[in-house]
This record gives sequence, structure tokens and C-alpha cells, in this order.
Amino acid sequence: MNHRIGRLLGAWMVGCAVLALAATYYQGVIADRLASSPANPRVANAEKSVWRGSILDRNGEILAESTERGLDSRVYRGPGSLAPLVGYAHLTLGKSGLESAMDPWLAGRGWSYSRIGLLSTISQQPDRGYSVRLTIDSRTQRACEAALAGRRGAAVVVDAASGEVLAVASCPWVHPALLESAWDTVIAREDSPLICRPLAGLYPPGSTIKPAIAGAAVDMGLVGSGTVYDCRGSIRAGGTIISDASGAHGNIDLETAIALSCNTAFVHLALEAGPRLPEALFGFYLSRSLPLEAPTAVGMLSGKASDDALGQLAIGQGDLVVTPLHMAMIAAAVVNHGVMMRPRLVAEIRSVGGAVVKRSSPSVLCVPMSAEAARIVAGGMRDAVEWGTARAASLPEYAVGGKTGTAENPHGAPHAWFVGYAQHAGRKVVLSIIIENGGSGGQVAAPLAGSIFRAVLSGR
Amino acid sequence: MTTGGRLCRRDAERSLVGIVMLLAGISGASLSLARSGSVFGWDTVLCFGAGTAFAAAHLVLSAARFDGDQVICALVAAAAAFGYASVLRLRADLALRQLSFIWMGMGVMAATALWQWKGRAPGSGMALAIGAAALLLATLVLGQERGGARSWIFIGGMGFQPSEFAKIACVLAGADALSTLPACEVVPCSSPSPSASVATNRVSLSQMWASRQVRRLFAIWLVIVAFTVLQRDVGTAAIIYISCVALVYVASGNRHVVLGAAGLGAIGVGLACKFFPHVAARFAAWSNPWADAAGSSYQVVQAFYALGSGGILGRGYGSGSPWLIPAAPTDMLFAASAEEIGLAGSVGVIAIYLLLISHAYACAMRSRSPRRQLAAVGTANILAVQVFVIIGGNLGVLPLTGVTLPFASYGGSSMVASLALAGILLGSTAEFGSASAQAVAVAPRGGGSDGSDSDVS
Repeated sequence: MNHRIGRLLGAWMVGCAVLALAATYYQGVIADRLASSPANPRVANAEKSVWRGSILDRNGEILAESTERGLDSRVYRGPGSLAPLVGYAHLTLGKSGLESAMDPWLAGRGWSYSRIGLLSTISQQPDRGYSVRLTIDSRTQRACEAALAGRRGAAVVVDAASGEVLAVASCPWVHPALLESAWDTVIAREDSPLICRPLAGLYPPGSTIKPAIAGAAVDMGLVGSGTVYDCRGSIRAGGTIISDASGAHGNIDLETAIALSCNTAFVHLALEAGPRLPEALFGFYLSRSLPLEAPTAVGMLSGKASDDALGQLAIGQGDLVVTPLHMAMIAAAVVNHGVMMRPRLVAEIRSVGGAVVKRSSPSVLCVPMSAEAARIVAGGMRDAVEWGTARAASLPEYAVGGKTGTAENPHGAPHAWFVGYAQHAGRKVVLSIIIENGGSGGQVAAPLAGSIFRAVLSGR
Repeated sequence: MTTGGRLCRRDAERSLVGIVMLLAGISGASLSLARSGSVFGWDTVLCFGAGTAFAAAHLVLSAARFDGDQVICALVAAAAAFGYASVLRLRADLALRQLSFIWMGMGVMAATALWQWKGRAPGSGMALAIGAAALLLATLVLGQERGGARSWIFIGGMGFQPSEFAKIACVLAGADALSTLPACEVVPCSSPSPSASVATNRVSLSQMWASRQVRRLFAIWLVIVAFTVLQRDVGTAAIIYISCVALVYVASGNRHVVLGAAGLGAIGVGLACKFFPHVAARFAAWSNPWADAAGSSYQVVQAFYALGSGGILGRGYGSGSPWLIPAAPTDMLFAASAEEIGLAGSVGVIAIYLLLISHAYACAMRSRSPRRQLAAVGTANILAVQVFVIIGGNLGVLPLTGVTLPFASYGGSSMVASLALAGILLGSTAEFGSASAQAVAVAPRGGGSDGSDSDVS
């Protein structure tokens, strides 16, 4: 009889092994998925019991705060054009933007989710979230918002030396308080008011890509400050002829080519550079998403090196698309001696008591061009504002440089671009602004730069 | 204690129960810390009080010169201490009731252990089974429905489930009747070659049927299982059925019985699915829990979320939200506690039952009396199947059934019946006929029945 009892014993041990394996599966293998599933009632309950942290601008102005525990009391106070960046935190709609990206801090579980056994019994769980102070300057933000004046478009301002993002204006927007009642209408809108255009909108850059191409060409040794190119008014790139609207520019150097936005000269440079050009542009982060605390879109830059593709690339058309932030960062590299700083949106994270838990610091993202190339390109952009295509951006009190763009697109009138920098008393700020289907960059976008630069640089 | 010198015969049990009491006190202290912020609170006292019940059981057994196994009591105490802390954490208002159930059950455990040890009358198993069948019939007529099963009898406001006690009766009746079979002759440890014992090792169905006792046993088992099914308590019926089939297999060595019973069981499950919609719903919820997560499989899915939220180390006592699972203190106790004690804790709980039941089978192998041996195997079978069915149900391995986790879940009938099973197991491990036991049994009993365990008798 004993061997039969032994068999039952064996069956029981197998049964226990099955139970232990099942427990390991649910508590080990897929535990994180189950724990964070939106259908897990603990997730919503945790929201209800936590006093969510605030989002502040760089001067401490409140952009979003909670007046009591739970998500229902969330109030958004900042400039409306920040709404797509800040996003929303809603019980049923979920979270987006910084509310989603910074959620672990705002909800007070910054270090780790509290699955630490008895230790969590002993330690008090925080019931107040951390507050997040951004690098955004509300004053600059409002200047951008005023410049966009309700038109579809985006503006982003970055401090070139530190990488701090000072303004991220996206237009149109919907105030988060209205989202719940108007959700169906909002998501059906063709102008996509929930997208944060400066970081996630993808547009053809048009002529604003030319400073990057100029920098790359200088570093390849194709052109120097003394080199002269004879512009005949048009050039053949593969099967297409690309021409200049203003006719032949004659003998021009690189700075003048930038100042006058000479298509012929840049197509010539692109054809000379060949396959090296797309490779050099990869170095400007164009084919990647810029690392930032909020979600950013991946730019698209095909590595095609046919003459047709190179011709389109030289004038920022074809299949190249970028975000306004990408263009601002290129201008930042130009004015910062060829060094692109890592862009930053979050200045610091503070506990309820005011103690700084985490602080961001400047760091170099990449070095897409040499200091010499940057100096030449910056000069060309300065010329463009002094007497070239971007004259409307000129300001008497600051050294402003820039580049306009008029980007053809399949959605109607061309997008109006201005990408530029302003220097004053050691500060270097860059602006990238686009008015969707606005028309000519020189006439529509460049005049908007003045008020924005004034707001940034006169602020201190 | 005047008789201390002679009580120390159960040294191992004393140490093990002491360790379990200490652990119970620690879990109570951490529960108290989580809820009231101080280490010494009501939770500490209550958990320690639950552990103390088994210290009392140890004292009773020592005083009675009981010389059976010394590990079982401590393992049962561990399961009960875990369960008590979990129930206390979930429903503080049930704490005193559950504590009284544990103490009551402890008394029943000690009593059944001594009853089984001192030589239970051969007819008592069948008498109990007939009584259980009568109670089940009464339940069918007079009983009340709770949670889809009509399995409750209320006497003056106190309810109990006769099906819990029917399990014990089935085991005892089975042990009594099946031990008369020729295959049950105990082979000494230095057994001859297996071929020599083949003749007596297997019993055919017709041979079994030839015995009047076995015929009566099968009839009463059939009646009990049928009544339990009619109460719509399919989970308990399945536990009794599987355990009894395994018992017949051990006693007869007849594999065809197992195969035939498995076939019959499959047909039975099919019929149950057809005639009881709640059984069919449980099967559907088991085969695809995510299909109707807000409806029929709500309980299972909530258990999954609790398990996942616990992770490896758990969220710690007081930090989880285990009450989100319906029926957490009874059917879903395993999943509910797993959230706060994590994988480490839930594997530990499985380990307690693994050790307890494996030890029970090992003790059964050592026994030299077929009747005791079968009683031990029968109780181990019931506990093993019930533990597997309910933990498996909590973990999505099996369809969820409304049975309790033995020794741990909240419930008076379940606690007392499980501890009575443990008592029978304990009593079956001792050799009453052996010389030393006899000598002790003749000696006058006295010092043990002092104040601390007077409430047992």
C-alpha cells in the first residue's frame, strides 16, 4: 500500500509545483503589467488618495495645481498656448503631455512603486506629490502666444547656452477644463488642438534648413568664407530644374547665399557633397527625436543621395520633415559655437516641504559643426536680418540673426517659417516659429520675431 | 507546572509551536504597526491569541501522554496563524468570531485526535456518515441559500454547513470499511519483492463489491455526494469525490477504478455545467477570464490584479487594498493576502500546505495499522484536494469554486471541520497498541487538565 501512498504524495508535490509556478507567473512575470493596468482599481484609487503636485514655470508661477486630493480638483492656470505641452490629468480621459510624462513625480511615487514588502509598512508612503518647476518663462510664452495671434502654428524659444526651453507655444489649443464635455468635438477637429506642435508637429523646413547645410558644407571643405559661387538663377538636380524666384544672384559668397536664401547655390553645394550631406545632417539629430522630458516627434530624413533627392534636401523640401524644436536646436548650435546643448524643460523637482529632490543641469547633446563653420553661418544669418530676406526681424537694440523659410506642403498655402537668434549682454536665445499655411516666411513669420526677442531679452 | 518533567515528551512540538506563536505575534505586530502606528496593539494581542490556541492543544496532547506526530500541530498552527492575520487585516470586525472559531476548532482537534488514538469504535465511521447524510437531507429541506449554494442550516441565529462535516464522515467511514480489504495488509519496511505481494496487493471491483461493508460504504458516499451536488455546492462534492476515489485507489490498488471514476467525474462535470448555470459560468470565466472581466469573471480578474499588484515582495501589511476582491476573507483569502505579502509570502503559504500534507502522507506510510493508515491518507486527501482546488481557483489554474482554504479562511464550520480533520490525522499517527503508549495510557491522567484547557472538554 505504501507505494500507492507514495504516488499520491508525488501527485501532491506536482500540484504544489503547479500552484507555485502559477503564483510566480502572476506575481513575477506579468506582475508589472497587472499592477499598472488602467483597469486595476488600485491605479484609480491611488490617484484619489494623492494630493497631486503642482507644475510651475521658471519663476514659480503656477501652471497647474490641485486644490485637494484626487484628480477632480486639478486647475490649469498658465497661458493657454502651454496647454498642449502641460497636457491634462483626468480620471476618465487619462493623462497626456507633461502630466503623463512627469506622472511618477506628480503622483508622489518618484523613486519606485511601493512594492517593498514590510518596509512599506514601516515607512510612511507620501500622500503629496512632488512639484515640477519648468524652465518655461510665462512672459516669453505669452509673447509667443500673442505673436501666433490665434493662427495655426508653433513657436519655441530656447536658451542656446544652457539648453533651457523658455517657451513652447502651440496654437490652437483647448483649455483642459473643457475637454471632458467637448471630447468628441475636440478629437474630431481637423486642426488637432491636442498636439503639441513645437515638439510633435512635423513640417518640411523649407529654406530654414540652409544654415545646417552651409555648416555641413564648410566642415566638408566644400566652401570657405572667401569662396565665391556664380549664381545663374537656376540649376539642374537630376530630373528637375530648381530656380531662384528673384533671378540670378551673380557672384556670391556663402554668407550672401544664406542672406538671400539662394536656392541655386545650396543645390550646387548639395550635389557636390553627395551622399555625405544626409550623413552630416544626421549629426544635427534630424532623424531622431530630441531627448526631452516631454514626448517629442522623430524627424524624418531619408538617406537617399540621388541628385533629385539632394536637390530637394538642399531647399528643405522632399521627404524631409522636422519639428520646430529641431530647427531651434540647429540655430542654437550655430550661435553656440557649433555645440548643441541638450534641451531641457524641467528645471527641478521639489517635495512639498520645498526641498529640491532633483535638479537638471546643462549638458552637451552633440557637436554638429565646427566653431569656424558656426561663425560663418551665424554671420550669414546676421546678414539675412540686416539686409537679406529676414529684414522684418531686425531689432535695433539686439544682434539678431535669422533665416526665413517658405515651405511648400500638400495642405495648401506654404508654411511661413522664421528660425533665428538674438544676442544681448552675453545671453543667446533662439526662436523657431512657424505659421501653418501662412505664406511667405519673410513677410509673415519674420516680423513676429521682434516682440518675442524683446520679451526674452528685456526681461532682465 | 508540577508535571512539567513528564510533559516534555513532546519537545519538538513545543519548540515548533513556540516558533509559530512568535511568528504569529510578529505578524500581529506588523499589522498593528500598519494600522495604529504602534507595535503593541489589539492586532498583536489577537494574532498571538490565535497562536496560543495551538500551544493549548500541545498542552492537552502532552497531558494525555499522546505519542503521535509532533510536526502536524505546528504546521496547522502556521496555516491558521497566516489565515488569522489575513482575516484580521481584511475584516477587523470578524476578528473575535474567528478567534473563537480557532479555539473551538482547537478543542475539537484535540478531542478527535485522542478519540482516533484511543481506538475509535469500528462502526463509528458509518454511523457518522449516516448522520451526515441525514443532516444534508435536512439542509436540502430546511436550509438556506448563501452565495449560490443551499448549504446552510441555521439554529438560533448560528449557521453552519453540514457538508463540511460530511467530509470527515466520508473519510472515517472509508477508512473503516476499506481497511477490511485484503490489499490493505501492511507490508513491513523490509518487504519482499513486489511480485510476491501482487496477489494480495490488487483488489478487483467484484472483490470489493463482494464485501457487504464496502457496498454500504459506496452507497453512503454516493448519497452524500449526491446531496452535496443537489445543494449546488459542486466544489465540496468534487473534493469529497476525488478524495474518496484516491482513498479507494490506495486501499485496493485498482487503477481501473481511478480511470472509471475519472470518466464518471467528467460526465458529472458536464451534467453540472448543463443543469447548474453558475457552474457553466465558472467554467467560462476560467477558460477566458478577460472576456467578461467586469461580469462573470470579475472575481478572478480582481484576484489577478491583486496578485500582480503584490509583485515579488508584496506591498506590506496595511499598504494594499485586498478588500477589492469579492469574498476576500473566505474564498479569495489566498489572492487577497498575496497582494500584501507578495510572491515570497504566497509561495511560503503554499510551502506550509506542501509540508503539512506531504508529512501526513509520510506518516501514513509509517503506520502499521491499515485503519489508521487509511484514515490518515483520507484526511490528507481531503486537505490536499481542497487546498489545490481553492488556491488553484485563486490563481486561475482551476475554475473558481466557493470552498475555503483549510485552517485559514474565515468561517466557523470550515475552521472546526478542518481542525477536526487535522485531529484525525494526528490521532492516526500514533500507535495506540504499542507497549509504551499502553503503559502511559494506563497511568492516571491528571496534571494536564488544569485551568488553561478546561474549556476544551
